[in-house]
Amino acid sequence: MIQTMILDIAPEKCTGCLLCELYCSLSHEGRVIPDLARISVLGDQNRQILIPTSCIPCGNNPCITACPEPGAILKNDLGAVIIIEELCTACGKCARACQIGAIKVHRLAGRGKKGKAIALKCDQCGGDPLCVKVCPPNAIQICPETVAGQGVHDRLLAAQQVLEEAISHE
Amino acid sequence: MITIHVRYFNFLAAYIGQKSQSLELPDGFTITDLIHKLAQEGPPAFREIVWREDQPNPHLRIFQNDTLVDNNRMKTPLATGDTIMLFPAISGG
Amino acid sequence: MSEYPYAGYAGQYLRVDLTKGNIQKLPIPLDWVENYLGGNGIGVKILWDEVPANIQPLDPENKLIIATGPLCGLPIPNTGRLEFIAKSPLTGIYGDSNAGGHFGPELKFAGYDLIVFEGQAPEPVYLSIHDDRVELHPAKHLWGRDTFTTEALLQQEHQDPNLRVACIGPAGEHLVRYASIQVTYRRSAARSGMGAVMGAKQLKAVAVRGTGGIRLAEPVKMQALALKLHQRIRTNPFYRSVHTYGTPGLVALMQPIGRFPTQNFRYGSFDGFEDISGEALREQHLLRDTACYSCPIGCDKVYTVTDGEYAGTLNSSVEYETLNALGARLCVRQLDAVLKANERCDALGLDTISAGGAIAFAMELAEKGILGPAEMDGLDLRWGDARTLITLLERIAARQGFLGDLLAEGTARAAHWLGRGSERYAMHVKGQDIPAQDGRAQQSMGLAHVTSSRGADHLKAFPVLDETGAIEEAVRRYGDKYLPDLVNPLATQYKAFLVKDCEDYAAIVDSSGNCKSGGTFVMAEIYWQDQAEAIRLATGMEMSVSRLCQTGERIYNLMRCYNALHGITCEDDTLPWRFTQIPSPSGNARGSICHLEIMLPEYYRLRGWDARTGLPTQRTLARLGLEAAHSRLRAAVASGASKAAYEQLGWSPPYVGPTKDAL
Repeated sequence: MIQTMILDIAPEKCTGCLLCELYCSLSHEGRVIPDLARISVLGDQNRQILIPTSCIPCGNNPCITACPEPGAILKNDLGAVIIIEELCTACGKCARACQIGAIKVHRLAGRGKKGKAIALKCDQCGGDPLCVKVCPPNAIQICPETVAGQGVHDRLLAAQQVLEEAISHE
Repeated sequence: MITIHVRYFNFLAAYIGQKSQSLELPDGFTITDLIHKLAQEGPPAFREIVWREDQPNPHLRIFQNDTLVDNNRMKTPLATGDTIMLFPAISGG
Repeated sequence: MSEYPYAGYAGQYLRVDLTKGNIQKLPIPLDWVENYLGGNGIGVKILWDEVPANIQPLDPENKLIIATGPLCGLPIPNTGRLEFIAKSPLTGIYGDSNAGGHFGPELKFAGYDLIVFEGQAPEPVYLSIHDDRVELHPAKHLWGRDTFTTEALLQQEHQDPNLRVACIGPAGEHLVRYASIQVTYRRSAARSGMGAVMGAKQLKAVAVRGTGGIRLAEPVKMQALALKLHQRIRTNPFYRSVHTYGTPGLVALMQPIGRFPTQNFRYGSFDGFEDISGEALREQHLLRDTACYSCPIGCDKVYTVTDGEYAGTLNSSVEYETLNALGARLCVRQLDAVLKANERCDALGLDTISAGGAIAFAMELAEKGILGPAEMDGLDLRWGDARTLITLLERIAARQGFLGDLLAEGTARAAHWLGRGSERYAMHVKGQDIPAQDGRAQQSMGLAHVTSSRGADHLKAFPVLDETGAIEEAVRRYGDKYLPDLVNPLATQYKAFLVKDCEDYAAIVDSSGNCKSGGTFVMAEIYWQDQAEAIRLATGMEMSVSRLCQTGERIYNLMRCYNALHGITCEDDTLPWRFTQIPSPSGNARGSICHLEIMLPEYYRLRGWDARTGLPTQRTLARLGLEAAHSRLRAAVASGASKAAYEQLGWSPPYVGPTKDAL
């Protein structure tokens, strides 16, 4: 039986190098375009807080529940939650359902069911995540799903709340 | 016997667990002998930085009384009161 | 717009006329990328073509060029860098500075390789770039604000925490001749006074957000190469020290080498070095590691001061140079004060190296009785006084008081103006302050300071293989035929060769967009071959090693020609007497002087420059496709125009002796 994996993200180790965003965008989109990366590093102006944010997956899968298009977002054999681009209408419901902002909708000509836009999220690169390979401080690691994805999800959520407060005081 | 003082810099101090130490050594002990002794007695991570196969690691930087120790000086005997400074590979500025 | 013939580049640039408020979007001329690559290569080309010798640096006719390179933004390790180029207000000749961080790639994502600013805005303005929306805005509300506040305000105004900003602080606004440009996140484009050029143009900031991408000629092969280089860097023997301590780790190393300048270069070792070392910094003040764009090393850190007089100080990019310039150079051993001083330099927008150099100059003048008590503005200019350091930085940034205003001119110009024998204590080359190296302790650095195209500087050549002797790295680059002398810091043999090769490669790195503190120099992991391959895979440009070498030489020679238009000759290729006359009293360097007289003639010979004048020969320039440059240079020399320009520079060559001083 294939071991399903989660991304274990430790924000306190992140250096903000953005190599995860860079490689993610290059391998998925064929060019360097961090805006289309499936992982985003959030942070404050002074870099006291850095939070690499991606689908874990969390285990609750509110994104799958929210999606109105049959088969457009589902859990694959490896346990990753993936979007089937050709079926995605870019309605944004999955993005809104995700509490940590791991899904983003992008207007991209020729993409998605309507040929205008799609939602993008981490697909674990088919089982060998590139961000894990390139992250220099090992802030992103791949772990067997015996470690609860919900725990990592909640860790990121808490960190994001601290960040929001810090930004509002800046 | 001679007494010398060894100082560990950069991450060497963390690897060996102290910033400096005094050592009593036999007369005629050379710098190479010293590095060998430290390598043998130190933890594996430290050993890897200071020793390579059968000689001091070429990336280890050694100063004897504020003088850079090159290959020739490795075989000179230490003297009482010598201060040896050890650095791992560092560069850049 | 049809696709640019080369990938890797955005293919277009902005020309902003600040006088008229016009913005043009123009395709990058192929000549620029094919012959000058990007970054400071294109920068010097534009200066050569568009900023003649009779233009003064603070005139509206000077141009400020902000230039990325073909590798900027790419997954190749350390590609966050970009260049700021203009005629320097500090030296009057070619000027540039380089910064890492995250601004450069954002400019490329927005769709621009470079920006050329011309003229002078009638009121303070800033430029915003959001992909194809490029606009000038009033900046009166930002004028007077420090750089951190400016960045935060712009991010709020544009409701974008990811907005990347390059801005000046009060120092640039007051035209301090070594004012810096600060770049997200807190990285400094500090040397040569580019911030004063921005200030003279009343340009407060450039804010950019780009959501586009960079097209690559061979994305799959590029990804493979990038991963390979990334792994090589992470397993390199120098990785651990550079990652853990950053450049501050050099403080302790430079001490026994005798290369930690103390008391205005009188000594090469500082008895307080442990108080301001990288070890002390990490132990007492470290908050977290941070990294520039695409950097696997993460040498940068966030440091905080949590108690004492300077509690609340928050800093990143605290570098070896700063620990020296604001620490040992002035005999200050209070680390939290040095951190405060660094924070203020970043906030005010000041080059820490030239600021420290100016203050050290003042302290020595006070010690020697050359400055009278009435001229010290009530300050105690004793060596080691941290309060003086902090106060004087504020006054320099504001040009406040006799001393603040004098020192804001930079050491070399201040000495020239003051006279009274103060020239002896101005530690500069071609008007720029010498950084934290000593040619007596490392011969190649002495030569590098002299031959740098922007005045005294360690980064134009950055010869690090012979700091303490990196034998394996030297063999990998050059084979073993130059050993052992090539890696012996005190030997002069082969150092001209080393400096020339490093200058040519550094010119390419600074034109490409990758970092010299990363794999190219400090780890000696990436070199001509890898660089050529990376450029090829990124752009699709035919790029052999020999073509790349020639491009590096072309860039360096054009910089020399530009400086020669301003009257620079071998007469200016000198070091102050301390380095050539006084044997070093410190560490491994004790008893040594810097033997420029051996290295410089060999350097001219290798460069193909005339031994009598130090200027590129016709033959050398023709080989590099710079025939026209030779004609123009010859005409400028013959007509006396270059001599006339030289008289406007405002400084004299460093004092070389004789001296009665023992140290």
